[in-house]
Amino acid sequence: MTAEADIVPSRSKVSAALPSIPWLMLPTLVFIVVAFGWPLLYLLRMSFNEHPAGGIYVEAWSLRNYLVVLTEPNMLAVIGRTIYISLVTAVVTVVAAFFFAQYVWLREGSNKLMLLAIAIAPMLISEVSVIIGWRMFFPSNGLLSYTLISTGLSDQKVNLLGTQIAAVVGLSYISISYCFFSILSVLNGIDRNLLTASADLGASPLRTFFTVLLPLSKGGIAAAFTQAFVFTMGIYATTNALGPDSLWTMPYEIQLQMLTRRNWPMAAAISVVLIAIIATTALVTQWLRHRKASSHA
Amino acid sequence: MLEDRAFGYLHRAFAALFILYVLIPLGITAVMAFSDDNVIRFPIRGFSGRWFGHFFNDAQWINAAWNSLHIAILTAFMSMVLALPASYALANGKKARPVLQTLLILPLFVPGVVLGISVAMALGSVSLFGYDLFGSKFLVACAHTLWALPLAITVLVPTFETLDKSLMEAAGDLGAPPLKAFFNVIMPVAMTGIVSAGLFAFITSLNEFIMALFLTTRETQTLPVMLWLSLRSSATPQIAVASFVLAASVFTAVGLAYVWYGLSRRGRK
Repeated sequence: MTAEADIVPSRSKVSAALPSIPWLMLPTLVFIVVAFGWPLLYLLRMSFNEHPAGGIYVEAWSLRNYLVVLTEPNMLAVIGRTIYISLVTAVVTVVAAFFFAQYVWLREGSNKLMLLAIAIAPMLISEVSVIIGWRMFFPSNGLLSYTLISTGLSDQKVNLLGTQIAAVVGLSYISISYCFFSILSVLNGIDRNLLTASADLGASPLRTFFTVLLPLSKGGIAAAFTQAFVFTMGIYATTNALGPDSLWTMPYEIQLQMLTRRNWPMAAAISVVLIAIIATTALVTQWLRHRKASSHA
Repeated sequence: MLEDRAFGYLHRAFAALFILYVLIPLGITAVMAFSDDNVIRFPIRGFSGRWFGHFFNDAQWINAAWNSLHIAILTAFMSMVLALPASYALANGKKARPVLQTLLILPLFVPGVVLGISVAMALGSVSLFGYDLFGSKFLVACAHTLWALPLAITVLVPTFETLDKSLMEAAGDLGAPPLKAFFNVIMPVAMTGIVSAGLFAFITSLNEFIMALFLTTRETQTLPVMLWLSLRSSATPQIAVASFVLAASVFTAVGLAYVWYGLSRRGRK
């Protein structure tokens, strides 16, 4: 009897020793509300203000900024270009990440570790270092031009800096690691014997690829595509420093309005539209994946 | 069979190209940093460390490098203080978990330029105890924590999930108060996850420059911000040196963590 009485209080002490869960979340939630929620609400409010000549903003409740962003041909072209370059980058990145992930997936041992280290590297390098690196590769006195001339592939200097190719190469570098790991994690869940079985049954490598491997890794490819698209939508430094001047995107327009024109309400309105496009993309892909998953079940 | 071999070679060639693609910006920076030339160009005519000398004797670059280091350490510290209890709660909680975890990951999907201007607009004019937030290292670290925190939580939640729940109960049974149990029992077992999370936070902050661009003044400018601002005006290999120093700091941090991991595994055996 006394033994039991001893055990019961010590048991209740156990639940006291496990700190109550909600309290542990509190500091993080406060931080997110103050440093994330409040600034985004402020941004939303700012987008309805007006920009006086010579000033920064005056309080108002006007839809004028949104009207400009969503109807003016210049702004629509900016939105179109942003989506276009993000789509191209996402396609290129996912294709490259897929084939390298597949290559790594089929290897074993220390070789594989080396390849994984190489795949992580782009994630560890600052975007600005990536830009600087490619800015020494693409121009007419850069490494690419020198290599082409010294190998006899070209008889005059080649300049690719300021082209869409340079922009896509740089942009792709920024999201490629994330795409690689999304796809690799899906591939790791596939039984490699399926490929052998398919080949044994007489399917050509191409047929095995399209009827076995691709359908099985669809989920990872979709996730990687969304990631690359969403990341690229928000980048302006790489696009601006490697691409042509005509490749004027939404994030670039935002910083221009904020820093050069000092038009905070317009910068805010473009930001809200950019977030809306990103959110829509994420939600639509999420919905497509869930719909497919449930139709399979 | 012939077709198989052909695809094998094609795949190998592609992998080689991919590796080249990853290594080009790194290699080119490392080589150009040691160029003796006055301008960035190929072929390189001679090698010397003179641009390193210029870099380390330039007060503005060195100041920027220290700012970066301070902000990155502050970001790692803040992310860990917030992420450790939150991840522990998420790993042990059930009810609101998916909603909360999604909420905490959200900032990762908001572009840096948007976060940068939002924080600058909303918190830039605030002063705490007569100390202006705008241009302070603290505000930059807060902005960087918005990205570092979700990364840290993504690493820590699975770490805490794999821990044996009975460990904490046993510590409680033996009379340890929660904090003591956490530091003496949970921390040592989860150390690999905790170090990787801190490392992620540190690197994220060290590399970030868009948010910092909107939140720093000339005095608090970070190394990547200064690199970005001098991108078009500077044509000397000094910019390659600065970029090299930035990348080298990241790889040093990763290397140190790796050595620590190796040593701690050997210690346990």
